[in-house]
Amino acid sequence: MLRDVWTKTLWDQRRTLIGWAIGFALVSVVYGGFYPFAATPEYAELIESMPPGLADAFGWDEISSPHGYLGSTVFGILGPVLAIVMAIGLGARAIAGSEEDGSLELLIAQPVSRLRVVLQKTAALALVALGAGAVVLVAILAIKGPIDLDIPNSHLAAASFNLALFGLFFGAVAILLGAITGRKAVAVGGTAGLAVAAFLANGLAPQVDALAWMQNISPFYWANGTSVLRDGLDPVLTLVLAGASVVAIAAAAVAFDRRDVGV
Amino acid sequence: MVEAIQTRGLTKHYGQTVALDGLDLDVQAGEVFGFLGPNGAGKTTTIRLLLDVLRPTAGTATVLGLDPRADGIELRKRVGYLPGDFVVDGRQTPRQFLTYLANLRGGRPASAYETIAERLELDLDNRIGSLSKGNRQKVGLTQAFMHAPELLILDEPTSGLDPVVAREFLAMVAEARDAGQTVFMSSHVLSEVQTSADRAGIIRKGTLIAIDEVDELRSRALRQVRVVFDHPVAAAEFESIANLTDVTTDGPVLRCRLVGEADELVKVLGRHRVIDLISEEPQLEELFFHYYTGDNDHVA
Repeated sequence: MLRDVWTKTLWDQRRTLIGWAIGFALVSVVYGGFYPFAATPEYAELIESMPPGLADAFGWDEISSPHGYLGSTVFGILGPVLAIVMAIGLGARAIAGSEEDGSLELLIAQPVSRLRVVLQKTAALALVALGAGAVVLVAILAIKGPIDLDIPNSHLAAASFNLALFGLFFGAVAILLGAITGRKAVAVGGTAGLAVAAFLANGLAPQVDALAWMQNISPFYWANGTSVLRDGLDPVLTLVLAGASVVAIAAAAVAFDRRDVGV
Repeated sequence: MVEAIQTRGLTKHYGQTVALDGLDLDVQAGEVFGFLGPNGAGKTTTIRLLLDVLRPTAGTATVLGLDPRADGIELRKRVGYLPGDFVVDGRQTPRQFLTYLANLRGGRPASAYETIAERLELDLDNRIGSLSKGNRQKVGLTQAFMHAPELLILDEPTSGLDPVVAREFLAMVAEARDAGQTVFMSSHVLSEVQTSADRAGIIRKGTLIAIDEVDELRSRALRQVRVVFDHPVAAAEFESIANLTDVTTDGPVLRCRLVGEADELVKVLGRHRVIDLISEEPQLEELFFHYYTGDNDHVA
């Protein structure tokens, strides 16, 4: 595990990562396991009685269906929130955090290029994100039978993969902000702010006609759990989601290569 | 022979602050060079520019004939570097950390760092976070030396080391020189480099104010001298000595600053009965004063 930057990054985070794995598994099992209670007529009535805007904003309009339930819970709120928090932590630490604590200077004084540092730290983040998606997938598959969750496995896999890409994107943004500024607070705050904006753009903007277009630029929309669980992978939106990370990391590599470190 | 380090007009600004102002420096291959200056003088800035951690505002630097930016990887392969503020993740052991760095350099046998760690009496298997500052510095020194680089760039290497380990470190520097390696080490204290360095440069406010053989720097250095006689003395008698400045007397006590040889002063002192004589090691600040303002000016 001490062979290269990406393995070392994972090794250094190993305790944190175990914690996140447990978190993702618990959220999937506990939250997902509540599906039988949401599939009841009483629950449907409750949602019915809510103002339509509110239910739409949180994606509760299809909550009684299996894809609607998972799409608005594990893959709609808590899973994405966990993924964002985890990815911001890892992404902000990748450049800005280690620059602020002083350890980055010694790394870039080794015979490694800055591009390699950015790419390998991104690779570590991508693996962690995929790992989180895999944990969610395995957890849902484990409870699928007992709670009678009727969703094709391929759709579950696609939604889990999108969740991983979704986390990767916010981690990539945190890396980018850290690569530009070297400030952890900027990387964390900026990315968190972007996440909130993305959530609002996906949930609230469609309710105002003039702002409806904004949904199309929200990573929440690109990852859209409910429709993926219902219809399977949307290649275009998934590519957009992955491409956004690629763009962010490319920009991070350029920005990091151009500036002073540790100032 | 290619200079180990060569800078021409090397300049670094941070916004309005000028950290380094047109540094021209030549460090010969195979020498031990002391880079002296008070904190904030630009030593660390210079070193970071050499390693491509920072980018110059103006001027050029070459290290082992290589450009820090264009040939950074090749350059850093051949350099061992100890940062002035050596920070690593404390949750790992020195062995894990050194293995990692050895792998980044294409793999080194464990014996490469074990030998050095043993010399410095560094325990490789305690978590770095639990080590004292001095022991952490040993980790830093070990990683700088372990691949026997052509050029060692050491920023305040003796900081935090106890005197015994510092002596061992100086022996390692001497051996590195004997093996043909170049050592570039910074310090804010002359005495740290005077036994091991061949030459030294003194930097102040981003400008090189002196560069010479260490012995020469010392001989030209200012020294504070305090003499106690068994009777009151008059300042006038000593003011005539050419290389003495700031002569003051207080009853039987004489205070003055001596530049260079002590011969004339000693001969004048010989006319009196001397109870006590203290000649303080030249302090770097006094060296600066000397070079920066010229011999004849003096501090109030």
